[in-house]
Amino acid sequence: MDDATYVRRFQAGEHAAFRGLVENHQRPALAHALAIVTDVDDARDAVQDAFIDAYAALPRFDPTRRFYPWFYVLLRNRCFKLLAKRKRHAAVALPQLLSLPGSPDDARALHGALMALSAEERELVLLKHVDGLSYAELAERLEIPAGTVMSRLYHARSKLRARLDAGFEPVLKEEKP
Amino acid sequence: MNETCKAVRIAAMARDDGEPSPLPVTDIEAHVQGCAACREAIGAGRVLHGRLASAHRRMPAVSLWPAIEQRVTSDRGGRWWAALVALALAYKLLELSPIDLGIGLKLVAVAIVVAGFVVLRANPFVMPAEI
Repeated sequence: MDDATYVRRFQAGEHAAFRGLVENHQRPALAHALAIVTDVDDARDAVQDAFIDAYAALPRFDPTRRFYPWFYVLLRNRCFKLLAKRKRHAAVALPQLLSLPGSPDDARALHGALMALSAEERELVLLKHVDGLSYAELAERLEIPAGTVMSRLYHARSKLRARLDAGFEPVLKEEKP
Repeated sequence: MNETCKAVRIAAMARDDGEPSPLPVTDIEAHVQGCAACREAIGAGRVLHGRLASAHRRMPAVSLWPAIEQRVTSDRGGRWWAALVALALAYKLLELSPIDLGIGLKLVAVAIVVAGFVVLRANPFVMPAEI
């Protein structure tokens, strides 16, 4: 069943319909949260809290909108709140985060460079290049203008490339066409 | 890198991403032809773009519903009980007040009992059949 149907049923008073929304989106939500908070338990907590927020706000949600982009805003708020409170450093293991083709060294290099980015930069780079979101979609999810998306993406990619060039130059040089 | 180089690199990135470029393509190409640093930076950006585009997120197999269900159920129940307790306190205060509310006070008591039925979603005064 699609999200819009679950939302309409929920708004009509059938609260059990919320389960459908959780089951439709819990896996991508956890993957997205993990890329920001870089810890499996924290990501799970952030996703659960975001779904509780969604449950409370869903009666006011416009059912003509897509559910996940709206939910994503709640999710990232929860992730960044959690990051602000967290004192310890966490770095998720690559196999839990991404599947990268190529040699293990290349994958490790890219993973290391991604982990060296700030949470905001990593979120932006992965949403753009792994999930394939457009600048307009990124602007909606991150609640910033499209022009800001473009400049932040440029800086994040420059930083990522500088990290790769500094530590793993041969990997990129070999791949140049 | 000067401001022109930066503007050209941002515009080239947007074009490679399939987005509207803030600079005309002819301006980007004219600059890149004469700027080796921008040529290299744009080329390296494309390599990186290709590598990232071939990555996939791991989608963990999870079932968060049981934990979420428990939380939303307790939240919902908690809110209703808080409302009922507030209503009962208000009733008690009215009962103690010297103002005679007559039938109005009795209606408040009935409203509290009805609200209790709604919260419990059952009639608490019904005797179980096995007794």
